[in-house]
Amino acid sequence: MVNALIVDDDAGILESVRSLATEAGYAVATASDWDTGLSLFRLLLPDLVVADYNLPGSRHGLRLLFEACALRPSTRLVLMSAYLNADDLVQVEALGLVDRAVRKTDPVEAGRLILEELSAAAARGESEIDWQAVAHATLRGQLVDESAIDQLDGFLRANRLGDRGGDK
Amino acid sequence: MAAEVEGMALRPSARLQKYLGRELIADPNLAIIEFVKNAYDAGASDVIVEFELASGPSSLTISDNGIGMDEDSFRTNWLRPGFSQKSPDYKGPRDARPVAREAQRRALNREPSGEKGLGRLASGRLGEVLEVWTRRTSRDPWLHVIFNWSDFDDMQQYMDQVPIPYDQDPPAGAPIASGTIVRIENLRQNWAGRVAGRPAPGRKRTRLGRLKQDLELLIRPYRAHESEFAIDLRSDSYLDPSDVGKVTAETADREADYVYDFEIDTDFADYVVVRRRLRRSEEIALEVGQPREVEYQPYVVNARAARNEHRSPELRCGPFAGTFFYTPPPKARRAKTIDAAASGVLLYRDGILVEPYGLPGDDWVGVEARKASRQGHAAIQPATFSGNVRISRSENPELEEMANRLGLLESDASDDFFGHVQAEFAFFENIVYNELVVARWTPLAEKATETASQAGALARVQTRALIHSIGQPLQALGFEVLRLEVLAKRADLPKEARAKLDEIRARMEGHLEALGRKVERVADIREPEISVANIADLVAAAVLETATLAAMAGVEVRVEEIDDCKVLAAEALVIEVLGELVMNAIEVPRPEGRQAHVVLTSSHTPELGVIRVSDNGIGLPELQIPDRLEDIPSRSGRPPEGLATIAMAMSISRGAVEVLETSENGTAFEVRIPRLLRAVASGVD
Repeated sequence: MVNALIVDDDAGILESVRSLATEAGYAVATASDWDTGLSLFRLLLPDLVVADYNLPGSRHGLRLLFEACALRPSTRLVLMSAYLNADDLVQVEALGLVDRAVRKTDPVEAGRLILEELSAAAARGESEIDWQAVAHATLRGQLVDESAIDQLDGFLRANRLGDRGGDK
Repeated sequence: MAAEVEGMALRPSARLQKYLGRELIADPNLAIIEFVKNAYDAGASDVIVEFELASGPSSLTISDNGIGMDEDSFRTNWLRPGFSQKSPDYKGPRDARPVAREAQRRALNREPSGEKGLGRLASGRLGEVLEVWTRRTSRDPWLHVIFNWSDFDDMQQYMDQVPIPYDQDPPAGAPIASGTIVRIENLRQNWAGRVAGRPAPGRKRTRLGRLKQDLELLIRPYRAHESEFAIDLRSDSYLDPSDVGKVTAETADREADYVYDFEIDTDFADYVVVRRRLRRSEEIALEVGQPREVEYQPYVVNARAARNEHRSPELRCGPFAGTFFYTPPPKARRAKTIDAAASGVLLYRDGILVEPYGLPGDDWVGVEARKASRQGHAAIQPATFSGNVRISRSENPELEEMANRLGLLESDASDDFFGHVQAEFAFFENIVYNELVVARWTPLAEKATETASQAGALARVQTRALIHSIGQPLQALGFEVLRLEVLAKRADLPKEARAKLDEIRARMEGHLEALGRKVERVADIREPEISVANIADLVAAAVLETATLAAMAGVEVRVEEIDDCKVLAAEALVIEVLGELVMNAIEVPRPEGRQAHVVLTSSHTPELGVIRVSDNGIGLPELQIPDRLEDIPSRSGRPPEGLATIAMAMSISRGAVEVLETSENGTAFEVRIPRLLRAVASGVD
């Protein structure tokens, strides 16, 4: 059983995180673009998704995580990015969409957080009913404001990625 | 035999020649220049100064194609030292016999430059025997006269008792058809050698090189009205090939962007009146939006004007005229192409250079002083400024020269004279200041603000992209470190191996954390914070930052003349810029034996704080300085992006950095930091 789906366009990161997960005894699936990631998500319905903010094939980093959220509200979502600064992370977390936002500029700490998430996901997968996930999914459905997601997405894309609104 | 006169008469001893020629004329170059001037006055178009030094007895031959002499005119002119038909005082009949027509045309168009008739005596300074060949046209026989100066050593004889042999023997291999050839054998000094004593700044060290420089100085005042005069300096032996060759008005002077002429005279009421004319090159006229030529209204120096301009309301020195040449040094014409000999305002009396005015090391016009008073914003850079001031014996008898020919005697007349020349320079400098410095700064400041805002936006995008690209491998490393941590806990591995793994993990984690913190700092850079800073603090911080490097390289970093003021700067960026400049200055290559140093100075204007970083390296490698700093190739082996970063960092801080000057004696960079915040563009975020 797969515990988590990791989506990142950097092959080095995928290789390292897969090795780490295997070494630590977890099973992860990886994808290097969002379309592949979404197919795998539908197929595997993982308890945890760790995704980069800026992915090939995606229009909006937060919007695509919202798709995952809508498909399976109980999945924990972790956003990992090198672009976003500390203030951005606070704003992203305040949206209520993602469960955790992690910056790549603190690499060991970020790795530890992901290891923690993997460990928690594995634990949840072992119990028959994950009450925590049910509560989480219910709450999230009420909290997430779609227009706020799009608004923040727009801001981040323009100001952090230097994107002026066109397709990538 | 001299004719008897009634009463008493002065009858010089033959030995007077020795004193006049050998002892009064201290510089042998002057003796040669006297002959060249005679050739100029005789309407020559070409003068060949040829040394034969390599084998046999050394000799110097000066040949010119000017108007030559027959026996009569030789007796009248040559054999009467102190007499000259060229003198304005000469009232006798003019010689109407046929001469070379072209030479005559030229001679009539020329202002006589020598009139003392003493040049021939000066040849005793060069060698023991002087031979002269001369003829008026190619159809005439040559007149050949031999002066053996040792014959004049006898104090018991009168000068006119020493026989001077002559005949009609033609010269061997004459390079001219008609004109005059003087030949001096057994030269007194080794012309192929070096000048003894300490080197003079800007002066050649070789005798021939210095002679060539002197000939160039001689020929420069002819520039305005004469292009048909060239001197060819030849030698079969020399230390430096550039010491010989053609000396023309063109090689001696260059077209300048600004040519300023002034004439100072008095009017009927004895007021001092200045007539001024300014000519601009086409490029500069276009650039500053001014006409090519301006003839100013005659300017009357009244008492008030005199006080304001620190000049005399009188003209006790007599009327005189001068010309200043100036080409702003920036861009293409800056630097090495300008040789020291072509700068300075020279003083000529009747076309003869009056030393030491305007020669290297002499600042009689006050160019350097004026530059200093502008505190880093001098309109005129002395290296590309030159000129001449012309006086004459007849118009300026009150300006007396010292007996050693090294300057004018101090007097009311010379005070007036210097005051007027300096005031004219200040007037000219002010024109250039307003046209080049003031006018250039206003759009520059606006442009800098605009560039800064663009550069800021660009820098932020570039920084983000960079951080992202660093973040990826960094994160991968983070996972690998954790993998080591997991491995170090595996019970199936030997205890020792686990301990080693954990040790490696701990170290890597430490390094990665440090690296992560740095990346985060860069990621958090937003609009640079511009705050009030002291120039002295910025300089001190930059010097401190580079102290280790300077100590390692054995380079002395001196902070001189710090004119402290408050500026508005992105402090960290400016310190980085200064540090980079000082590091570059420490590392520049220097010629062997040159004691390395770096000097920092500062000054300010109401708008700007200016910091200068100068090194004494070999100068920037290119003849032409690129417009952009980032085009300058690296000299220190470090990445050339350093200079590009400097330029960008300075524009983010609303300032500018520029190469002020560069030559084989070193390079100076100037950092300008605004003191008034014109506009801080709002950031993109």
